[in-house]
Amino acid sequence: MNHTPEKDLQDVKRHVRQHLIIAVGLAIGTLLTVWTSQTNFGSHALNIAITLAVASVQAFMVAGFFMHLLSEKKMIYCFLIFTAVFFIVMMFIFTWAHMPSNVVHYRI
Amino acid sequence: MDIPYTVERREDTGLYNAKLGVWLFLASEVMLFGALFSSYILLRVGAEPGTWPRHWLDYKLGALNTIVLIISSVTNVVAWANLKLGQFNKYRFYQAITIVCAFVFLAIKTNEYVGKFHHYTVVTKEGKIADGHLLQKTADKVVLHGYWAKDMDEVMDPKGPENASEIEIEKSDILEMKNYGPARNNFTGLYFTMTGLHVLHIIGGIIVIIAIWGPLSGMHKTDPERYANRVEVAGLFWSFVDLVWLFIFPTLYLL
Repeated sequence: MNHTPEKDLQDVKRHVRQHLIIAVGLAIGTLLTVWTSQTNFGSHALNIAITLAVASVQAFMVAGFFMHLLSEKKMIYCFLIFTAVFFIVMMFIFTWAHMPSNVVHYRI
Repeated sequence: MDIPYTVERREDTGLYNAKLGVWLFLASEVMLFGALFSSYILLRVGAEPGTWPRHWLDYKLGALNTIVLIISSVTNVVAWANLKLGQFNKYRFYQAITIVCAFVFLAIKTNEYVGKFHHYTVVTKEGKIADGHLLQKTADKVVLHGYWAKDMDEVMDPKGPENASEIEIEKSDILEMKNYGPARNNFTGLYFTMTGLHVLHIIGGIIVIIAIWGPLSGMHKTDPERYANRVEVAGLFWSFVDLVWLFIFPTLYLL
């Protein structure tokens, strides 16, 4: 590919514009998170789900664009898949261990 | 001895070593914060009705800190982009904004922490409950700026400072007096643990970014590619710190 300083400059300017748009999106997301948490959607569980969904979209924007994860190497995706699996297993183990049927009460 | 793959990419991974290393580190960080988030969820779901506090944190300060971190992430990425173009002065300018934002975040957080340590709930021997910020504490009396609560439920979910006034209580009348520090209950314990760990990451990030921005910036002249890689790796860590806060804010401040 033929890279010239002018082309690089244009690329960086485009990236900077993109990052500014993402930043505005994140700021709007923050306000939206506050709004969704204070709006009555009928149940508290729904409020939690919607608010965390907005936070997840924000996290995707940070990871995808600021951390360039959308254009990363396969190796990093492999790490993250493993991390996600271990994270889910960890959450499952904690939840499973605290289910009433699995709690052991010792008599001292 | 030259350290291999500080600039050139390894054929098998397609990455230079520092980038591979920082992503592995971030993966371990996901597990660290993940354990705390899962602890929060379990303790909250398992809490008896009325025992989990609501509205104890100022969401406006939390939202402000979120915006501050978002700005710092943008300036960090823009700084790196300018460095890749060889515009060193612009890099330093944008990275300086990142550093300022980091200190603003810490200042707001410190203000919140100080507020929590000065906020007390006092139970008198008559069973009355006062809640508010400590104005004065002497050998024989305590003065709060707060309100008399009907019961502990009102303390757990305060409606606002509409009826706040100065309250003077004789020390001999006090049965129990607790501040909103980490030892107060599970919520404050988790709040200080999660935000404290996050603050440690912010401080670590500041140290690394300042070191690269200032004392280590000479490498820009001797080995510009490697210097840009250092900035990129520090930036990845900084964006991760921002990402963690995006979950801490709604979890602790809003829900």
